[in-house]
Amino acid sequence: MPLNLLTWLLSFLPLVVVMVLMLGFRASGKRASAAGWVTAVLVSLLAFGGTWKLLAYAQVKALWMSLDVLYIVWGALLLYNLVHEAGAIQAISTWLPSVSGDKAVQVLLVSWLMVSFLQGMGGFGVPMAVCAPILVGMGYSPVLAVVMTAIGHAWAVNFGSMATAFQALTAVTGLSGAVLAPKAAILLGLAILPSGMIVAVLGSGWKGLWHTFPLLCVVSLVMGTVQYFLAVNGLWNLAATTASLAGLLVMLLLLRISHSASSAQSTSRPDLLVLISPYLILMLVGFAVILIAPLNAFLSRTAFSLNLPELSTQLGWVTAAEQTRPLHPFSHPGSILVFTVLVSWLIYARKGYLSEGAGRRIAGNVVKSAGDASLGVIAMVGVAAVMTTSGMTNLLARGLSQSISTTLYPAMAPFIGVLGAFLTGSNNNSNVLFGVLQMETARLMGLDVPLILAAQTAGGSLGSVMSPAKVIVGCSTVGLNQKEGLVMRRLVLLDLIPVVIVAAAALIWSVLLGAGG
Amino acid sequence: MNKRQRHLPTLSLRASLLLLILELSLPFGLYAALSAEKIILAKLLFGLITAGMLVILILPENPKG
Repeated sequence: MPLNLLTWLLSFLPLVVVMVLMLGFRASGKRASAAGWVTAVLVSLLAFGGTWKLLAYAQVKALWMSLDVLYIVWGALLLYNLVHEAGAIQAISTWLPSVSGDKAVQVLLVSWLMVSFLQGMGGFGVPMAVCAPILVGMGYSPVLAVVMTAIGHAWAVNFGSMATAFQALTAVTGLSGAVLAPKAAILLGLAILPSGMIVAVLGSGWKGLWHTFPLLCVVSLVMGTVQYFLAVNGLWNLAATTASLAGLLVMLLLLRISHSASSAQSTSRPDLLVLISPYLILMLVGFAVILIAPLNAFLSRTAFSLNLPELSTQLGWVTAAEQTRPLHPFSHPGSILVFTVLVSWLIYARKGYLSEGAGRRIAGNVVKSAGDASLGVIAMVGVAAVMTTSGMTNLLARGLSQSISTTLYPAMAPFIGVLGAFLTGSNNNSNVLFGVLQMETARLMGLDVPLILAAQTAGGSLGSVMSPAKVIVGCSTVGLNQKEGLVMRRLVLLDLIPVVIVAAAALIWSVLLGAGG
Repeated sequence: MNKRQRHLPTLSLRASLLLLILELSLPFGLYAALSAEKIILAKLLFGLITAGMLVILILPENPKG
Protein backbone atom coordinates (compact mmCIF):
# COMPACT_ATOMS: atom_id res chain seq x y z
CA MET A 1 0.00 0.00 0.00
CA PRO A 2 1.57 3.33 -1.05
CA LEU A 3 2.00 5.91 1.67
CA ASN A 4 0.35 9.20 0.82
CA LEU A 5 -1.85 11.68 2.65
CA LEU A 6 -5.10 9.98 1.60
CA THR A 7 -4.05 6.46 2.62
CA TRP A 8 -2.60 7.82 5.86
CA LEU A 9 -5.83 9.67 6.68
CA LEU A 10 -7.88 6.58 5.84
CA SER A 11 -5.79 4.44 8.17
CA PHE A 12 -6.27 7.06 10.90
CA LEU A 13 -10.05 7.20 10.38
CA PRO A 14 -11.08 4.38 12.79
CA LEU A 15 -9.17 6.08 15.60
CA VAL A 16 -10.65 9.47 14.73
CA VAL A 17 -14.14 7.96 14.91
CA VAL A 18 -13.48 6.47 18.37
CA MET A 19 -11.92 9.67 19.69
CA VAL A 20 -14.55 12.01 18.26
CA LEU A 21 -17.40 9.89 19.59
CA MET A 22 -15.89 9.54 23.06
CA LEU A 23 -14.41 13.01 23.47
CA GLY A 24 -16.80 15.06 21.38
CA PHE A 25 -20.11 13.27 21.76
CA ARG A 26 -19.45 11.62 25.14
CA ALA A 27 -20.46 8.27 23.67
CA SER A 28 -20.00 5.16 25.78
CA GLY A 29 -16.83 3.14 25.29
CA LYS A 30 -18.62 0.14 23.80
CA ARG A 31 -20.54 2.26 21.31
CA ALA A 32 -17.52 4.29 20.20
CA SER A 33 -15.46 1.10 19.89
CA ALA A 34 -18.19 -0.60 17.83
CA ALA A 35 -18.25 2.44 15.53
CA GLY A 36 -14.45 2.23 15.26
CA TRP A 37 -14.71 -1.48 14.42
CA VAL A 38 -17.27 -0.92 11.65
CA THR A 39 -15.12 1.93 10.24
CA ALA A 40 -11.96 -0.19 10.34
CA VAL A 41 -13.72 -3.07 8.54
CA LEU A 42 -15.08 -0.75 5.84
CA VAL A 43 -11.73 0.99 5.30
CA SER A 44 -9.99 -2.38 5.13
CA LEU A 45 -12.46 -3.76 2.56
CA LEU A 46 -12.74 -0.64 0.42
CA ALA A 47 -9.23 0.81 0.48
CA PHE A 48 -6.70 -1.66 1.89
CA GLY A 49 -7.59 -4.82 -0.04
CA GLY A 50 -8.96 -6.62 3.01
CA THR A 51 -10.94 -9.82 2.38
CA TRP A 52 -13.71 -11.28 4.53
CA LYS A 53 -11.39 -14.18 5.43
CA LEU A 54 -8.66 -11.82 6.63
CA LEU A 55 -11.20 -9.90 8.69
CA ALA A 56 -12.62 -13.12 10.10
CA TYR A 57 -9.20 -14.26 11.28
CA ALA A 58 -8.57 -10.76 12.65
CA GLN A 59 -11.70 -11.13 14.79
CA VAL A 60 -10.55 -14.54 16.04
CA LYS A 61 -7.22 -12.96 16.98
CA ALA A 62 -9.04 -10.07 18.65
CA LEU A 63 -11.14 -12.42 20.75
CA TRP A 64 -8.04 -14.26 21.91
CA MET A 65 -6.33 -11.00 22.89
CA SER A 66 -9.54 -9.87 24.62
CA LEU A 67 -9.78 -13.05 26.70
CA ASP A 68 -6.45 -12.15 28.27
CA VAL A 69 -7.94 -8.85 29.41
CA LEU A 70 -11.46 -10.02 30.24
CA TYR A 71 -10.22 -12.75 32.58
CA ILE A 72 -8.63 -10.01 34.71
CA VAL A 73 -11.56 -7.61 34.37
CA TRP A 74 -14.11 -10.14 35.66
CA GLY A 75 -11.77 -11.30 38.44
CA ALA A 76 -11.05 -7.72 39.53
CA LEU A 77 -14.71 -6.77 39.55
CA LEU A 78 -15.53 -9.87 41.58
CA LEU A 79 -12.83 -8.94 44.12
CA TYR A 80 -13.92 -5.30 44.23
CA ASN A 81 -17.60 -6.14 44.76
CA LEU A 82 -16.73 -8.66 47.47
CA VAL A 83 -14.64 -6.19 49.49
CA HIS A 84 -17.24 -3.50 48.91
CA GLU A 85 -20.02 -5.76 50.18
CA ALA A 86 -17.97 -6.52 53.30
CA GLY A 87 -17.41 -2.80 53.96
CA ALA A 88 -13.67 -2.75 53.30
CA ILE A 89 -13.75 0.21 50.90
CA GLN A 90 -15.57 2.28 53.48
CA ALA A 91 -13.12 1.14 56.16
CA ILE A 92 -10.09 2.15 54.05
CA SER A 93 -11.70 5.52 53.31
CA THR A 94 -12.13 6.22 57.02
CA TRP A 95 -8.72 4.81 57.93
CA LEU A 96 -6.74 7.01 55.54
CA PRO A 97 -7.32 10.23 57.48
CA SER A 98 -5.66 8.55 60.47
CA VAL A 99 -2.47 8.06 58.44
CA SER A 100 -2.44 11.74 57.62
CA GLY A 101 -5.04 14.43 58.06
CA ASP A 102 -3.71 16.03 54.89
CA LYS A 103 -6.03 15.44 51.94
CA ALA A 104 -3.17 15.80 49.43
CA VAL A 105 -1.17 13.09 51.20
CA GLN A 106 -4.20 10.77 51.34
CA VAL A 107 -4.86 11.16 47.65
CA LEU A 108 -1.18 10.54 46.82
CA LEU A 109 -1.19 7.39 48.93
CA VAL A 110 -4.13 5.94 47.01
CA SER A 111 -3.90 7.31 43.49
CA TRP A 112 -0.13 7.50 43.06
CA LEU A 113 1.44 4.82 45.27
CA MET A 114 -1.18 2.13 45.97
CA VAL A 115 -2.40 2.19 42.36
CA SER A 116 1.16 1.85 41.05
CA PHE A 117 1.83 -1.03 43.40
CA LEU A 118 -1.30 -2.82 42.18
CA GLN A 119 -0.09 -2.38 38.59
CA GLY A 120 2.57 -4.91 39.49
CA MET A 121 -0.13 -7.50 40.24
CA GLY A 122 -2.11 -7.08 37.04
CA GLY A 123 -2.71 -4.26 34.65
CA PHE A 124 -5.44 -3.73 32.07
CA GLY A 125 -7.11 -1.02 34.14
CA VAL A 126 -7.49 -3.18 37.25
CA PRO A 127 -5.50 -0.80 39.52
CA MET A 128 -7.90 1.95 38.50
CA ALA A 129 -10.93 -0.30 39.06
CA VAL A 130 -9.66 -1.11 42.57
CA CYS A 131 -8.48 2.35 43.71
CA ALA A 132 -11.03 4.68 42.11
CA PRO A 133 -13.87 3.53 44.43
CA ILE A 134 -11.67 4.28 47.47
CA LEU A 135 -11.29 7.86 46.24
CA VAL A 136 -15.04 8.10 45.67
CA GLY A 137 -15.44 6.92 49.27
CA MET A 138 -13.14 9.80 50.30
CA GLY A 139 -15.52 12.25 48.64
CA TYR A 140 -14.06 12.70 45.15
CA SER A 141 -16.25 12.66 42.06
CA PRO A 142 -16.14 9.38 40.10
CA VAL A 143 -14.70 11.16 37.02
CA LEU A 144 -11.88 12.73 39.03
CA ALA A 145 -11.24 9.44 40.83
CA VAL A 146 -10.67 7.56 37.55
CA VAL A 147 -8.56 10.39 36.08
CA MET A 148 -6.31 10.58 39.16
CA THR A 149 -5.75 6.83 39.40
CA ALA A 150 -5.06 6.62 35.66
CA ILE A 151 -2.38 9.31 35.68
CA GLY A 152 -0.95 8.19 39.02
CA HIS A 153 0.15 4.77 37.79
CA ALA A 154 0.99 5.52 34.14
CA TRP A 155 4.73 5.44 34.86
CA ALA A 156 4.49 1.91 36.32
CA VAL A 157 2.85 0.14 33.37
CA ASN A 158 6.02 -0.76 31.45
CA PHE A 159 7.83 -2.49 34.33
CA GLY A 160 4.57 -3.44 36.09
CA SER A 161 2.48 -6.55 35.38
CA MET A 162 5.67 -8.59 35.54
CA ALA A 163 7.19 -6.28 32.90
CA THR A 164 5.26 -8.09 30.16
CA ALA A 165 5.34 -4.96 27.98
CA PHE A 166 9.10 -4.62 28.38
CA GLN A 167 9.64 -8.31 27.69
CA ALA A 168 7.47 -8.04 24.57
CA LEU A 169 9.79 -5.26 23.37
CA THR A 170 12.87 -7.40 23.89
CA ALA A 171 11.17 -10.33 22.15
CA VAL A 172 10.10 -8.47 19.00
CA THR A 173 13.33 -6.48 18.59
CA GLY A 174 15.73 -9.27 19.54
CA LEU A 175 17.66 -6.84 21.77
CA SER A 176 18.51 -7.89 25.30
CA GLY A 177 16.81 -6.43 28.34
CA ALA A 178 20.21 -5.31 29.61
CA VAL A 179 20.57 -3.05 26.56
CA LEU A 180 17.06 -1.60 26.71
CA ALA A 181 16.39 -1.37 30.45
CA PRO A 182 18.65 1.55 31.52
CA LYS A 183 17.23 4.13 29.12
CA ALA A 184 13.65 2.90 29.55
CA ALA A 185 14.02 3.14 33.35
CA ILE A 186 15.42 6.68 33.13
CA LEU A 187 12.74 7.98 30.76
CA LEU A 188 9.96 6.45 32.85
CA GLY A 189 11.66 7.64 36.03
CA LEU A 190 11.31 11.19 34.71
CA ALA A 191 7.53 10.70 34.49
CA ILE A 192 7.12 9.73 38.17
CA LEU A 193 7.29 13.24 39.65
CA PRO A 194 4.96 14.88 37.08
CA SER A 195 2.42 12.08 37.60
CA GLY A 196 2.44 12.68 41.35
CA MET A 197 2.25 16.45 40.88
CA ILE A 198 -0.80 16.18 38.62
CA VAL A 199 -2.50 13.90 41.13
CA ALA A 200 -1.73 16.34 43.97
CA VAL A 201 -3.14 19.31 42.01
CA LEU A 202 -6.27 17.41 41.01
CA GLY A 203 -6.79 16.09 44.53
CA SER A 204 -6.16 19.19 46.59
CA GLY A 205 -5.34 22.11 44.31
CA TRP A 206 -2.11 24.07 43.84
CA LYS A 207 -1.92 24.64 47.58
CA GLY A 208 -1.86 20.89 48.12
CA LEU A 209 0.90 20.51 45.56
CA TRP A 210 2.94 23.30 47.16
CA HIS A 211 3.07 21.80 50.64
CA THR A 212 3.54 18.19 49.48
CA PHE A 213 6.20 19.10 46.92
CA PRO A 214 9.24 18.18 49.09
CA LEU A 215 7.56 14.85 49.94
CA LEU A 216 6.79 14.26 46.26
CA CYS A 217 10.40 14.96 45.28
CA VAL A 218 11.86 12.57 47.87
CA VAL A 219 9.41 9.74 47.11
CA SER A 220 9.83 10.20 43.34
CA LEU A 221 13.60 10.05 43.69
CA VAL A 222 13.35 6.86 45.76
CA MET A 223 10.95 5.20 43.30
CA GLY A 224 12.94 6.25 40.24
CA THR A 225 16.22 5.05 41.77
CA VAL A 226 14.80 1.70 42.94
CA GLN A 227 13.17 1.09 39.56
CA TYR A 228 16.41 1.96 37.75
CA PHE A 229 18.65 -0.28 39.84
CA LEU A 230 16.29 -3.25 39.67
CA ALA A 231 15.80 -2.82 35.91
CA VAL A 232 19.51 -2.57 35.08
CA ASN A 233 20.25 -5.59 37.26
CA GLY A 234 17.88 -7.85 35.36
CA LEU A 235 15.02 -7.65 37.87
CA TRP A 236 12.76 -5.67 35.55
CA ASN A 237 9.87 -8.03 36.40
CA LEU A 238 9.71 -6.53 39.87
CA ALA A 239 11.05 -3.04 39.15
CA ALA A 240 7.80 -1.04 39.24
CA THR A 241 6.18 -3.05 42.03
CA THR A 242 9.19 -2.83 44.31
CA ALA A 243 9.70 0.84 43.46
CA SER A 244 6.13 1.74 44.39
CA LEU A 245 6.34 -0.37 47.56
CA ALA A 246 9.56 1.46 48.49
CA GLY A 247 7.83 4.77 47.77
CA LEU A 248 4.87 3.80 49.94
CA LEU A 249 7.12 2.82 52.85
CA VAL A 250 9.25 5.96 52.55
CA MET A 251 6.17 8.17 52.50
CA LEU A 252 4.73 6.48 55.60
CA LEU A 253 8.10 6.81 57.33
CA LEU A 254 8.39 10.51 56.45
CA LEU A 255 4.85 11.10 57.68
CA ARG A 256 5.68 9.43 60.97
CA ILE A 257 8.85 11.49 61.33
CA SER A 258 7.00 14.72 60.60
CA HIS A 259 4.38 13.74 63.23
CA SER A 260 1.58 14.16 60.75
CA ALA A 261 0.15 10.87 61.87
CA SER A 262 0.05 11.80 65.52
CA SER A 263 -1.80 15.01 64.82
CA ALA A 264 -4.58 13.14 63.09
CA GLN A 265 -7.28 11.27 64.98
CA SER A 266 -7.21 7.52 64.65
CA THR A 267 -10.49 6.44 63.14
CA SER A 268 -9.54 3.01 61.91
CA ARG A 269 -11.69 0.01 62.76
CA PRO A 270 -10.05 -2.64 64.92
CA ASP A 271 -10.85 -5.27 62.27
CA LEU A 272 -9.30 -3.26 59.44
CA LEU A 273 -6.62 -5.87 58.83
CA VAL A 274 -9.23 -8.59 58.29
CA LEU A 275 -11.26 -6.31 56.04
CA ILE A 276 -8.30 -5.50 53.81
CA SER A 277 -7.00 -9.09 53.92
CA PRO A 278 -8.09 -9.73 50.28
CA TYR A 279 -5.48 -7.19 49.11
CA LEU A 280 -2.82 -8.78 51.29
CA ILE A 281 -3.77 -12.23 49.96
CA LEU A 282 -3.67 -10.84 46.42
CA MET A 283 -0.11 -9.59 46.96
CA LEU A 284 0.98 -12.80 48.64
CA VAL A 285 -0.48 -15.08 45.98
CA GLY A 286 0.71 -12.76 43.20
CA PHE A 287 4.30 -12.78 44.42
CA ALA A 288 4.18 -16.53 45.13
CA VAL A 289 3.04 -17.36 41.59
CA ILE A 290 5.62 -14.99 40.11
CA LEU A 291 8.64 -15.76 42.29
CA ILE A 292 8.32 -19.46 43.18
CA ALA A 293 9.56 -20.98 39.94
CA PRO A 294 8.34 -24.58 40.51
CA LEU A 295 4.86 -23.31 41.45
CA ASN A 296 4.79 -21.09 38.38
CA ALA A 297 5.95 -23.95 36.16
CA PHE A 298 3.31 -26.27 37.63
CA LEU A 299 0.47 -23.76 37.19
CA SER A 300 1.66 -22.83 33.70
CA ARG A 301 1.55 -26.42 32.47
CA THR A 302 -1.98 -25.97 31.17
CA ALA A 303 -1.95 -23.59 28.24
CA PHE A 304 -4.14 -22.88 25.24
CA SER A 305 -3.32 -21.11 22.01
CA LEU A 306 -4.57 -20.89 18.44
CA ASN A 307 -2.65 -21.35 15.20
CA LEU A 308 -3.37 -18.62 12.70
CA PRO A 309 -2.38 -19.00 9.03
CA GLU A 310 -0.49 -16.46 6.94
CA LEU A 311 -2.86 -13.69 5.93
CA SER A 312 -2.51 -11.27 3.05
CA THR A 313 -4.53 -8.41 1.66
CA GLN A 314 -5.26 -8.09 -2.06
CA LEU A 315 -2.71 -5.27 -2.10
CA GLY A 316 0.05 -7.54 -0.84
CA TRP A 317 0.33 -6.71 2.88
CA VAL A 318 1.30 -9.99 4.56
CA THR A 319 0.84 -10.99 8.19
CA ALA A 320 2.99 -14.04 8.90
CA ALA A 321 1.47 -17.27 10.23
CA GLU A 322 1.58 -17.24 14.00
CA GLN A 323 0.62 -19.01 17.16
CA THR A 324 -1.35 -16.74 19.47
CA ARG A 325 0.06 -15.87 22.88
CA PRO A 326 -0.69 -18.88 25.11
CA LEU A 327 -3.41 -18.42 27.70
CA HIS A 328 -2.41 -20.02 31.02
CA PRO A 329 -5.72 -20.38 32.89
CA PHE A 330 -4.09 -21.24 36.26
CA SER A 331 -1.13 -18.85 36.40
CA HIS A 332 -2.85 -15.93 34.68
CA PRO A 333 -3.38 -12.77 36.80
CA GLY A 334 -7.11 -13.41 36.42
CA SER A 335 -6.78 -16.77 38.17
CA ILE A 336 -4.81 -15.10 40.99
CA LEU A 337 -7.75 -12.73 41.44
CA VAL A 338 -10.28 -15.58 41.39
CA PHE A 339 -8.26 -17.56 43.94
CA THR A 340 -8.02 -14.46 46.14
CA VAL A 341 -11.79 -14.03 45.92
CA LEU A 342 -12.41 -17.64 46.99
CA VAL A 343 -10.12 -17.41 50.03
CA SER A 344 -11.39 -13.93 50.97
CA TRP A 345 -15.00 -15.07 50.67
CA LEU A 346 -14.31 -17.86 53.18
CA ILE A 347 -12.65 -15.40 55.58
CA TYR A 348 -15.46 -12.86 55.30
CA ALA A 349 -18.16 -15.54 55.65
CA ARG A 350 -16.46 -16.95 58.74
CA LYS A 351 -16.26 -13.47 60.29
CA GLY A 352 -19.90 -12.79 59.42
CA TYR A 353 -19.16 -9.79 57.16
CA LEU A 354 -21.42 -10.98 54.36
CA SER A 355 -25.11 -10.44 55.02
CA GLU A 356 -27.95 -12.48 53.53
CA GLY A 357 -28.20 -12.24 49.76
CA ALA A 358 -24.61 -10.99 49.45
CA GLY A 359 -23.77 -13.56 46.77
CA ARG A 360 -26.70 -12.49 44.61
CA ARG A 361 -25.88 -8.80 45.01
CA ILE A 362 -22.20 -9.33 44.21
CA ALA A 363 -23.00 -11.44 41.13
CA GLY A 364 -25.56 -8.88 39.93
CA ASN A 365 -23.15 -5.98 40.29
CA VAL A 366 -20.32 -7.86 38.58
CA VAL A 367 -22.49 -8.80 35.61
CA LYS A 368 -23.84 -5.26 35.33
CA SER A 369 -20.39 -3.62 35.35
CA ALA A 370 -18.43 -6.23 33.44
CA GLY A 371 -20.98 -6.77 30.66
CA ASP A 372 -20.65 -3.32 29.15
CA ALA A 373 -16.90 -3.13 29.80
CA SER A 374 -16.34 -6.49 28.10
CA LEU A 375 -18.22 -5.52 24.94
CA GLY A 376 -16.16 -2.32 24.73
CA VAL A 377 -12.90 -4.20 25.16
CA ILE A 378 -13.80 -6.82 22.50
CA ALA A 379 -14.76 -4.12 19.97
CA MET A 380 -11.67 -1.96 20.65
CA VAL A 381 -9.26 -4.88 20.45
CA GLY A 382 -11.12 -5.83 17.25
CA VAL A 383 -10.30 -2.39 15.81
CA ALA A 384 -6.62 -2.97 16.57
CA ALA A 385 -6.63 -6.47 15.04
CA VAL A 386 -8.37 -5.34 11.83
CA MET A 387 -6.01 -2.37 11.44
CA THR A 388 -2.90 -4.48 12.05
CA THR A 389 -3.78 -7.35 9.71
CA SER A 390 -4.83 -4.89 6.98
CA GLY A 391 -1.55 -2.95 7.15
CA MET A 392 -3.24 0.22 8.38
CA THR A 393 -1.30 0.41 11.64
CA ASN A 394 2.03 0.01 9.86
CA LEU A 395 1.12 2.73 7.37
CA LEU A 396 0.04 5.02 10.16
CA ALA A 397 3.37 4.66 11.99
CA ARG A 398 5.39 4.92 8.76
CA GLY A 399 3.62 8.16 7.95
CA LEU A 400 4.40 9.56 11.38
CA SER A 401 8.06 8.57 11.21
CA GLN A 402 8.60 9.82 7.64
CA SER A 403 6.94 13.17 8.19
CA ILE A 404 9.50 14.24 10.74
CA SER A 405 13.20 15.09 10.56
CA THR A 406 15.93 12.92 12.01
CA THR A 407 16.70 15.45 14.73
CA LEU A 408 13.09 15.64 15.92
CA TYR A 409 12.28 11.93 15.57
CA PRO A 410 13.27 11.04 19.20
CA ALA A 411 10.53 13.43 20.33
CA MET A 412 8.03 11.68 18.03
CA ALA A 413 8.93 8.15 19.16
CA PRO A 414 6.96 8.29 22.47
CA PHE A 415 3.87 9.50 20.61
CA ILE A 416 4.02 6.47 18.33
CA GLY A 417 4.11 4.38 21.52
CA VAL A 418 1.10 6.35 22.79
CA LEU A 419 -0.75 5.71 19.53
CA GLY A 420 -0.22 1.95 19.74
CA ALA A 421 -1.27 1.84 23.38
CA PHE A 422 -4.31 4.06 22.83
CA LEU A 423 -5.41 1.83 20.00
CA THR A 424 -4.89 -1.52 21.69
CA GLY A 425 -5.29 -0.58 25.36
CA SER A 426 -1.94 -2.13 26.14
CA ASN A 427 1.72 -1.08 26.40
CA ASN A 428 2.54 -4.68 25.55
CA ASN A 429 0.59 -4.63 22.28
CA SER A 430 1.98 -1.21 21.40
CA ASN A 431 5.49 -2.63 21.66
CA VAL A 432 4.51 -5.65 19.56
CA LEU A 433 2.96 -3.37 16.93
CA PHE A 434 5.63 -0.70 16.69
CA GLY A 435 8.79 -2.09 18.32
CA VAL A 436 10.39 -3.32 15.09
CA LEU A 437 9.22 -0.31 13.10
CA GLN A 438 10.80 2.06 15.63
CA MET A 439 14.03 0.04 15.65
CA GLU A 440 14.29 0.01 11.84
CA THR A 441 13.52 3.73 11.61
CA ALA A 442 16.15 4.53 14.25
CA ARG A 443 18.75 2.47 12.36
CA LEU A 444 17.92 4.13 9.03
CA MET A 445 18.16 7.56 10.61
CA GLY A 446 21.37 6.73 12.46
CA LEU A 447 19.76 7.33 15.85
CA ASP A 448 20.51 5.54 19.11
CA VAL A 449 18.30 2.41 18.91
CA PRO A 450 17.95 1.70 22.68
CA LEU A 451 16.95 5.35 23.25
CA ILE A 452 14.25 5.26 20.56
CA LEU A 453 12.92 1.94 21.86
CA ALA A 454 12.97 3.31 25.40
CA ALA A 455 10.93 6.27 24.17
CA GLN A 456 8.52 3.86 22.43
CA THR A 457 7.84 1.80 25.54
CA ALA A 458 7.73 4.86 27.81
CA GLY A 459 5.11 6.38 25.50
CA GLY A 460 3.22 3.09 25.47
CA SER A 461 3.28 2.96 29.25
CA LEU A 462 2.02 6.52 29.69
CA GLY A 463 -0.45 6.33 26.81
CA SER A 464 -2.06 3.03 27.75
CA VAL A 465 -3.91 4.54 30.71
CA MET A 466 -5.91 6.86 28.46
CA SER A 467 -6.94 4.14 26.03
CA PRO A 468 -10.69 3.51 25.78
CA ALA A 469 -10.19 -0.17 26.70
CA LYS A 470 -8.55 0.74 30.04
CA VAL A 471 -10.83 3.67 30.80
CA ILE A 472 -13.86 1.41 30.32
CA VAL A 473 -12.47 -0.96 32.96
CA GLY A 474 -11.55 1.90 35.30
CA CYS A 475 -15.05 3.36 35.03
CA SER A 476 -16.78 0.06 35.68
CA THR A 477 -16.46 0.20 39.48
CA VAL A 478 -17.51 3.81 40.07
CA GLY A 479 -20.86 3.83 38.28
CA LEU A 480 -19.56 5.52 35.14
CA ASN A 481 -20.66 2.81 32.71
CA GLN A 482 -21.67 4.42 29.41
CA LYS A 483 -20.10 7.71 30.56
CA GLU A 484 -16.46 6.95 29.76
CA GLY A 485 -16.31 9.94 27.39
CA LEU A 486 -16.49 12.28 30.40
CA VAL A 487 -13.33 10.71 31.81
CA MET A 488 -11.53 10.66 28.45
CA ARG A 489 -12.10 14.39 28.00
CA ARG A 490 -10.24 15.26 31.19
CA LEU A 491 -7.73 12.47 31.03
CA VAL A 492 -6.26 12.86 27.54
CA LEU A 493 -4.84 16.37 27.93
CA LEU A 494 -3.51 15.80 31.44
CA ASP A 495 -1.90 12.49 30.56
CA LEU A 496 -0.09 14.11 27.65
CA ILE A 497 1.93 16.24 30.12
CA PRO A 498 4.24 13.38 31.22
CA VAL A 499 4.38 12.19 27.59
CA VAL A 500 5.62 15.62 26.48
CA ILE A 501 8.22 15.59 29.27
CA VAL A 502 9.48 12.16 28.15
CA ALA A 503 9.50 13.32 24.51
CA ALA A 504 11.54 16.42 25.41
CA ALA A 505 13.95 14.30 27.45
CA ALA A 506 14.39 11.83 24.57
CA LEU A 507 15.06 14.73 22.18
CA ILE A 508 17.64 16.38 24.45
CA TRP A 509 19.28 13.03 25.17
CA SER A 510 19.51 12.23 21.47
CA VAL A 511 21.06 15.62 20.71
CA LEU A 512 23.57 15.10 23.54
CA LEU A 513 24.48 11.71 22.10
CA GLY A 514 25.19 13.53 18.86
CA ALA A 515 23.04 11.20 16.82
CA GLY A 516 20.70 13.72 15.40
CA GLY A 517 23.09 15.91 13.50
CA MET B 1 -31.51 9.83 23.07
CA ASN B 2 -32.32 11.72 19.88
CA LYS B 3 -35.66 11.74 18.00
CA ARG B 4 -34.66 9.07 15.51
CA GLN B 5 -33.41 6.74 18.25
CA ARG B 6 -36.71 6.93 20.14
CA HIS B 7 -38.28 4.59 17.58
CA LEU B 8 -35.69 1.90 18.29
CA PRO B 9 -35.76 -0.65 21.11
CA THR B 10 -33.13 0.05 23.77
CA LEU B 11 -30.15 -2.13 24.54
CA SER B 12 -31.05 -3.50 27.95
CA LEU B 13 -28.64 -5.21 30.34
CA ARG B 14 -30.03 -8.60 29.32
CA ALA B 15 -29.56 -7.80 25.63
CA SER B 16 -26.01 -6.58 26.31
CA LEU B 17 -25.20 -9.84 28.06
CA LEU B 18 -26.66 -11.87 25.20
CA LEU B 19 -24.53 -9.85 22.80
CA LEU B 20 -21.47 -10.44 24.95
CA ILE B 21 -22.06 -14.19 24.95
CA LEU B 22 -22.43 -14.12 21.16
CA GLU B 23 -19.34 -11.96 20.61
CA LEU B 24 -17.35 -14.29 22.88
CA SER B 25 -18.56 -17.59 21.44
CA LEU B 26 -19.04 -16.88 17.73
CA PRO B 27 -15.32 -16.29 16.97
CA PHE B 28 -14.53 -19.78 18.32
CA GLY B 29 -17.09 -21.25 15.91
CA LEU B 30 -15.66 -19.02 13.22
CA TYR B 31 -12.16 -20.34 13.88
CA ALA B 32 -13.40 -23.95 13.74
CA ALA B 33 -15.33 -23.27 10.51
CA LEU B 34 -12.31 -21.56 8.90
CA SER B 35 -10.00 -24.39 9.96
CA ALA B 36 -12.41 -26.98 8.52
CA GLU B 37 -12.79 -24.82 5.38
CA LYS B 38 -16.58 -24.63 5.82
CA ILE B 39 -16.74 -21.31 4.01
CA ILE B 40 -20.52 -20.77 4.03
CA LEU B 41 -20.71 -21.39 7.78
CA ALA B 42 -17.69 -19.14 8.37
CA LYS B 43 -19.30 -16.35 6.33
CA LEU B 44 -22.54 -16.74 8.27
CA LEU B 45 -20.73 -16.56 11.62
CA PHE B 46 -18.69 -13.52 10.58
CA GLY B 47 -21.94 -11.92 9.41
CA LEU B 48 -23.45 -12.53 12.85
CA ILE B 49 -20.42 -10.98 14.58
CA THR B 50 -20.75 -7.93 12.32
CA ALA B 51 -24.49 -7.75 13.04
CA GLY B 52 -23.70 -7.78 16.76
CA MET B 53 -21.33 -4.82 16.36
CA LEU B 54 -23.97 -2.94 14.38
CA VAL B 55 -26.54 -3.59 17.13
CA ILE B 56 -24.16 -2.10 19.73
CA LEU B 57 -23.59 0.88 17.48
CA ILE B 58 -27.18 1.57 16.42
CA LEU B 59 -29.40 0.69 19.36
CA PRO B 60 -29.58 3.34 22.07
CA GLU B 61 -28.51 2.26 25.52
CA ASN B 62 -31.12 1.78 28.19
CA PRO B 63 -30.39 4.52 30.74
CA LYS B 64 -31.81 2.27 33.50
CA GLY B 65 -29.33 -0.47 32.60
